[in-house]
Amino acid sequence: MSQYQFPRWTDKLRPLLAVVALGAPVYMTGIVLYGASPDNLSVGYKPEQPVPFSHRLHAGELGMDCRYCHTTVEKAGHAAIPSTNICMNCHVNIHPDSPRLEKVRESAATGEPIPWVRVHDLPDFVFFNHSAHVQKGVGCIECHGRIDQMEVVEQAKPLSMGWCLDCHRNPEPHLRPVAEVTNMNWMCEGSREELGAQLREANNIQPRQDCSTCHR
Amino acid sequence: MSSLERSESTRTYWRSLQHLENSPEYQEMVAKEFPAGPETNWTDSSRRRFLQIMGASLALSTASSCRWQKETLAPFADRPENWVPGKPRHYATSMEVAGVGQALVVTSYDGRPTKIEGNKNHPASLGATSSFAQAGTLGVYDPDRSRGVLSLAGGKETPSDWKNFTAFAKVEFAALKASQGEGLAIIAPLTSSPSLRAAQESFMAAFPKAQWVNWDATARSQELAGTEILFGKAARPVYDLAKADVVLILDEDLLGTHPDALRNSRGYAARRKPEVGKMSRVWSVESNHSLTGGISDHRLPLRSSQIGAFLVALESEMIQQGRFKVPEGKAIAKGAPKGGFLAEAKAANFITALASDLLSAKKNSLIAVGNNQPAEVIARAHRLNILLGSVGTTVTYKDVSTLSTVDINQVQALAASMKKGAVKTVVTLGGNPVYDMPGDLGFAEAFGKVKTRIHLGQYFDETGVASTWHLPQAHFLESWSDNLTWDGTWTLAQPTLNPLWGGRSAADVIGILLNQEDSHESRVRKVWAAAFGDGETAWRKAVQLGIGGASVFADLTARPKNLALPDATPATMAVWKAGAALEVSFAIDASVHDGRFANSGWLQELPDPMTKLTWDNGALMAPSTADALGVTTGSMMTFTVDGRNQDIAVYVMPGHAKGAVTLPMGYGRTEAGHVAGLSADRVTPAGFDVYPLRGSHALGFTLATAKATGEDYLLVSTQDHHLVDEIGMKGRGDRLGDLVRTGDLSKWEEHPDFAQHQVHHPPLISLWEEHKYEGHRWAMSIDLSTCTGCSSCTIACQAENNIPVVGKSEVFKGREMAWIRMDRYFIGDDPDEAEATHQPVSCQQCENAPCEQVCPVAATTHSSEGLNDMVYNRCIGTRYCANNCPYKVRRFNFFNNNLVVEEEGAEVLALGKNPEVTVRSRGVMEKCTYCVQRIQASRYEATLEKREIQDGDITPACAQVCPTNAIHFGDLNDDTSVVKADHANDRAYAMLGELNNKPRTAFLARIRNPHPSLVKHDSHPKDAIKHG
Repeated sequence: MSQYQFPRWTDKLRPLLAVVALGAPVYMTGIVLYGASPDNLSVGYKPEQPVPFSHRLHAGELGMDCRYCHTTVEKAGHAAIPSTNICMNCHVNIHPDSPRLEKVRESAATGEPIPWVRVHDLPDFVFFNHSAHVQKGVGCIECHGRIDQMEVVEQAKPLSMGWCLDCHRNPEPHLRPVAEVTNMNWMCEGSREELGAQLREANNIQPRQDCSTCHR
Repeated sequence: MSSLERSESTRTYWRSLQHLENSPEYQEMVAKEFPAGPETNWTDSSRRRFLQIMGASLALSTASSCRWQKETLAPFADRPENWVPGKPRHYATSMEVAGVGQALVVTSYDGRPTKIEGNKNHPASLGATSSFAQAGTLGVYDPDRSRGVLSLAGGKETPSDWKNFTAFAKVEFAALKASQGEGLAIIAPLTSSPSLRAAQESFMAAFPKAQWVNWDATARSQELAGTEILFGKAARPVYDLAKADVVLILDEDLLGTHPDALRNSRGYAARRKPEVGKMSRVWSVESNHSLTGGISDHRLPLRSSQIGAFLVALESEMIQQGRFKVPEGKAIAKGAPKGGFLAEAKAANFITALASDLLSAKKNSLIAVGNNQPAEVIARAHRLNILLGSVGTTVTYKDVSTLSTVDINQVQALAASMKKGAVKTVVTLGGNPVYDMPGDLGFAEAFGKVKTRIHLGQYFDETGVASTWHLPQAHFLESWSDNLTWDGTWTLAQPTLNPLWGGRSAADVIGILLNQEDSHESRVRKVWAAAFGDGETAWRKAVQLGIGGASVFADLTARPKNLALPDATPATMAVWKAGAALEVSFAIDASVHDGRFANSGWLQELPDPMTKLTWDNGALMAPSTADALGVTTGSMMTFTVDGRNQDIAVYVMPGHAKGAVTLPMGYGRTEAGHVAGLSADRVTPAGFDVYPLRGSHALGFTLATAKATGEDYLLVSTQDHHLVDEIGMKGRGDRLGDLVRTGDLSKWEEHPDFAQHQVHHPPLISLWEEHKYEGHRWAMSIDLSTCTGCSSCTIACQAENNIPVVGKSEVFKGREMAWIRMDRYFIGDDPDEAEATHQPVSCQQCENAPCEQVCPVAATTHSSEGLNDMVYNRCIGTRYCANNCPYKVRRFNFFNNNLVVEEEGAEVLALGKNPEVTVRSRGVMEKCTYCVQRIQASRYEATLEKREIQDGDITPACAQVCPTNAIHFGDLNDDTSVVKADHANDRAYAMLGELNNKPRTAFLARIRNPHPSLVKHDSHPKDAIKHG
């Protein structure tokens, strides 16, 4: 059997090889960078929760304050996933027999925790503190997006280091009066930058960019 | 040159005998930063295999990076009020070691104790803890702890449970009750617990004919016997070193292994800063070169058996010097003992100077004596306290006649009746008598003759294996209890987590044997209420503070009527000569105590404060003794006492008494666990068991013969690790100063800033524009004058910062991970007379950090507050930084040392990690961060409270644990901070400051206070050249 020979017309494609050889690394780098970017990797993560809890209903329509359930957000590093008894404060009387609340009732009865799935999951070498941000007037919305419009909670922001640093370098556009931190509908009257500058001055906000601020 | 007539001009500092000799081994050690590269298993694999693995890992990493692992959160179903997830809670509690309580505060994250500190409000802790307490969090999560009841009847291990045991006990003890406990013996560890005492009393009421025998290998029975000679009842001396101008310490590790070492250390430190009041002078006479000997101003190495004669000679010298009368005592009436070691000028001068010092200090003198001494010697030493009038000033004698004691006669009687078969049932309520009983009792054999052997213990240890029932014991962090600290303060203990493996306390087991169902908490409270009155508020307050009430021991203030003592026993006066029998003495080990902490990796790897040995003990002897015996460090010798043999490796210890050998107890365990030795899994025991050599009549010291076996053993000492390369520095002449700087008080009075002027250099100019620090400027100061070298900072750091244990073979390669190491230096040209001094070294957080300049990936960067931050996730493991660090404080993870938590059964170890600190993996460099997590925690707290961080808010783990408060931390930009004042202190110097690193840690030079008659006045040669 004779050896296979490429037809003569393929010779014309030879210069293309150079383009491929030059372009491939660029393409590969680009695709990996794009694919591995937290913007694309994490944003939109929307796991199914064991209980179909609706933030849109509770925080949006009913207008409950975030802190009713996330009680420790102002005073501790963790915002604290609410314990079952917080659910049961209301649901003893409201929809006491709803099948959607079966797991909540079960947890309240047995004392076993509800296994909520973590949505906003920072790497283990990152130490974030809710209280430090909330106390300085960084709204919930800045990192979590419009939770009050989410039927199922999803990750709205990349939570990448670059994204964190954007704000630590230039916090003004992300600041609001401390009283409005949990207000999802707050609108700034006038320039956000100007207000931010005032608030930064007033609340002594000096976001640190040292490695040990978050890594230790 | 003797240690007494020190001349400053010839003072040299050396780390080890190899260093002193500058041997080839030492030079090699200096030259090698990190010995060989990490072992890999690539060597056998082909290129194809390599590509396969690389390809597979690439594919895996792509697959796994698509989405992080799904993580679930488990909030409380019913969260307790005020419980904030992720916020540490603190509980006052206590632990007991050898019948003496230690007051603690436990830090607990989400119900998991992760760190132990001292109880600041407790008089016996004052905020400090021992290394043993620090290792408590590793102890409670030790995967080797016993996990359930075992029935071992018929030599077969059958897993059982408490229900089965209770059913068994009901029958067995009902029968015993009928015979009033005939043939029943209880072996209990020594305890001061009032509730356990009450349980014991009710037990003995039910079984009046039972034998209750207390045993603890480190019980201070001799001290009780000695004080009983004087006072007519057992007394306990409580020392106040803060009030003492002159302290004489006889064969005692007063600041090291003594039960009240924490408070003694604090008192010592109060008088060792030359700028603060009059300095005290510490004299010590001892056989071993102990930590206490290291901090002494004058030290006379004598064999333990010579201490008695030394005391008599001292008394007679004091009489001669005048105005001092010793009640009748024929040895003195006949005249002073003469000859032997007293004929040597060194001892004679020592005694003369000491006598005049004691006589001038009078009631402000203090004499402490070790428990290894015979009762008569102890009585004689304490009589001196009475005669000098120091009782009530520097020493208080507490009446402890009501406390449980170890009576060796009872122990001997028990062993004898066991051998005869008179004991049918024995209950071991914790403790490990089969391992730690004196060798002459043949206890293991006697124990085996008892029909029913019940063992309660945290581990299925030597005694557990020899028993017919093994019951898991609750750890002190898992149970209620109470105890008395050395001074008698009633101290409470509360559990900080539920027993992990269903363990129960000794009181619970007594309850089962008595067929009573009281909980231990109710027992503790009942006994407490009987003493202090019941009341919910008072009880809750007591539990909250951990302090039940003030000292329950009465002071013995009345001067004993008859102070006459029998004749001093003829002591061995002779100076040891080669060929004579050796004197072996048994010492409490600084790492494992009597063996009970043996299975703690942290403690095993913690270098002994003096020998710097890890993972082993050794037969410690003086260099000249070793030379005479023809052995050296690592030589195996067979020691023989009364026909009982044991092979032990020799460790040559500079400054040890000649002709004496110190044997630290607690090693050579065969059933301890996977750390210290486990026969079932063929884990070789760490170190050598010395108990076979111990005799029940001579628990302190005895005569032995020794013969070299010709074999060698690898002893791993860290004394030459992380050497700062002085050889390379030689070329620069004396541009560089000593790393550790010490001076005599007289020198300090002349030149308070002598330490800074040891080296003069041209103005230092930086290559870079220097940072400006406008906010905080974190800094540390370490006072070498008060640092005793106890090394609890190393353990505290290990617990706080999730520092792994690497094992003996890795330590041998210089890969131990401790972020703060304790450098021990010897001073003097004669190894037999060497003095010691300590220096803790951790990252100096240089402003011009050499490590930062060489990192190719900016994994170590400078923070705006001057911290040298380490970013683990950026680190690619080039180790350039470690190579460029002049202090050798960077540690590299050659392996993933934390992988152990993934092993089956060892997952429990993960619970003990500090959640505020990243757990590092392989290939990453790490080092001291000044406890940046604590800095951050204080910052958050200040933010919440809308205030600035105050001086004293932040305490790194090392500073918090320090018994002498030698370490201070704070802000150099705060004019009122302690650390700023320390940096401005005349004694402050920057280690290797000549390199223009601008270290943020300042050392305060150690000032010694030698007796004027024993010092030759010479100025330091470097001062002589540079000054003027």
